[in-house]
Amino acid sequence: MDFLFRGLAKAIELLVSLDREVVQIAWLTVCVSGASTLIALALGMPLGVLLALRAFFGRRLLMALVNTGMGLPPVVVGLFVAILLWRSGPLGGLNLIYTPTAMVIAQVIIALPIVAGVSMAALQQVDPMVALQARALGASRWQALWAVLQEARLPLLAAIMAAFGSVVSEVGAVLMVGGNLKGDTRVLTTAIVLETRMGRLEMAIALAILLLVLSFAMNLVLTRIQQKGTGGAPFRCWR
Amino acid sequence: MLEVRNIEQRYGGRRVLGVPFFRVGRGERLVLLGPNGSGKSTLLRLLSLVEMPTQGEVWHDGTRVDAGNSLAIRRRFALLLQKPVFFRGTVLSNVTYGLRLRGLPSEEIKGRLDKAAALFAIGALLSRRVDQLSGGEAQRVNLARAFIIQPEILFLDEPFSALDAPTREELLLELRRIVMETGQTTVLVTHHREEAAFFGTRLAVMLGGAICQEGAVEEVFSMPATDAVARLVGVETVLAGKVTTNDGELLAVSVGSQTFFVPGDGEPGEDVLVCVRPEDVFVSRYKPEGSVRNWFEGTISDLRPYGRTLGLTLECGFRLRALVTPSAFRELSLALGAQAWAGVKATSIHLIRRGGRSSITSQL
Repeated sequence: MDFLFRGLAKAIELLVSLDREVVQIAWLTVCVSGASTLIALALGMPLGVLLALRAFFGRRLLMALVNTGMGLPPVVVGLFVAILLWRSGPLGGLNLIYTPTAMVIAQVIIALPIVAGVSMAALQQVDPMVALQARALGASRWQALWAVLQEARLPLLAAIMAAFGSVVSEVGAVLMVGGNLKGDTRVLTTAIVLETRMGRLEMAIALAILLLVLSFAMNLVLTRIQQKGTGGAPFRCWR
Repeated sequence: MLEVRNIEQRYGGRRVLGVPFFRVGRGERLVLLGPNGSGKSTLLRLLSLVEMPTQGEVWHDGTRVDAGNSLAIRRRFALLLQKPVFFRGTVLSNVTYGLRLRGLPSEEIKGRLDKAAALFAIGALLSRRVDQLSGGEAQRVNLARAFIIQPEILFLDEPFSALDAPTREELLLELRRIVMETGQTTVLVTHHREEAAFFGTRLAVMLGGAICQEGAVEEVFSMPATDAVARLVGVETVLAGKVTTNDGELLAVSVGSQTFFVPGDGEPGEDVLVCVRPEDVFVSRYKPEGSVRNWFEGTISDLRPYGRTLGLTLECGFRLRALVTPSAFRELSLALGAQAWAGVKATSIHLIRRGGRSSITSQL
């Protein structure tokens, strides 16, 4: 147990002293996972809206694909993105392999079905009369959609949390397409793996704590936005 | 003001509404009366432009409504749904929702809010969350958020149907007062004939996705054009009969072994329906002297309490429904199985030509 306490002490020291390498790794993690989540949100939310609110040919098949995608193994995503971006692969000419962009692409593929799937389920739970009520009071099509999104705000923000949580903690895909290059593509998860393998447990523990703090901070912000105006426990019988 | 021409609405290929022509005039208190599934809410949604018809045209003040102008015209209206749907937040944010959509300046919103809050007595509720409202409060807030828009036409889809009777009566009374004071053009959908009679100036009766009859409320109530409309407007006795004689003043109409005398101009041998409203039937223990031409003796076969009155059925060769007050029932020593007399004034009877829509006579 001694090494664990030493690890914790070292972690605190690294964090307090804002160790340059640790800060650089943490910043890249925020950038890659943040960008992936935002892109997944931009693509996945409209897809979820489309699947939830519009009827079209192939909708159920697409729903099934999205739901399957929610459980996509990151390592499989990493494998296929790596094959595509590999120097001799179909998109090799783009020279993206072992770059943060490649890591973002892989993480978007992981997060997109989560955002789309949770959004779809969230919007399907909204009373269909909300849109009608909005239109009845003069809302345009987009204003009515906004009213529906507002009603699904809690689960939609949960979708963002789930997406960010899945990509920030993911290691297989970023390792395969990013290569864990120091200073270039090393993020918290890949760094933890590396430091553990090398026996530098203090560093690994420091990075792990940082990853937890980062994840918690992000979710704290989103939870505050999510719970704003809900007035606490919604069920009177449990107050 | 607002017209629909040859409209048809289909859901999934199923035709739910077909109306050749219908008009809402300025200042009218129009009521769409019909049973569930008669298409009245669908017509309301088409009139209020929240839905567009599968076929046909909607015209507003001489302008045909199309995709380009429908939002601008719809924003002149407000539609209240049967069950109030509130958006997450406070009463205040819900009441001002329609105004914020229209981009009104905050001073204007404040001014209108104050007026609406006073009109509907919701000032104390404004800071409350909408999920903390009672049924009556919720409907009051619902009315306020529609009125605050100051719509050209206010569309109300059975707004009080989910409320208890006293609250419903209170709100209907209040709504009628406000609508009359403000001269608000209103279209109310209801399946309660009492609501229709109390609220409306004009009535359209809907059945099976079509308008069966429209006219002034008193006219439709006293001269229903078909037996279905008659039953819907509260005529509980509709009897198949045949005109036997016409002496120029009164028709004699035989119903089974009995004869009704009714003013009108039908032809002998003509098949008709005899419509008698229960409130137009006098009940007596003995045959009274008087000018009433139609007296029938029978046995009381059914008794039903209708709130403040009792509904009874008299078997007198046909079934005649009548209403009596509980005190009259006691004073007349009436009882289930007892013999009694029922009288109907000739002018209170309405005849319908069988298979036709036009009536022969009317209540005078």
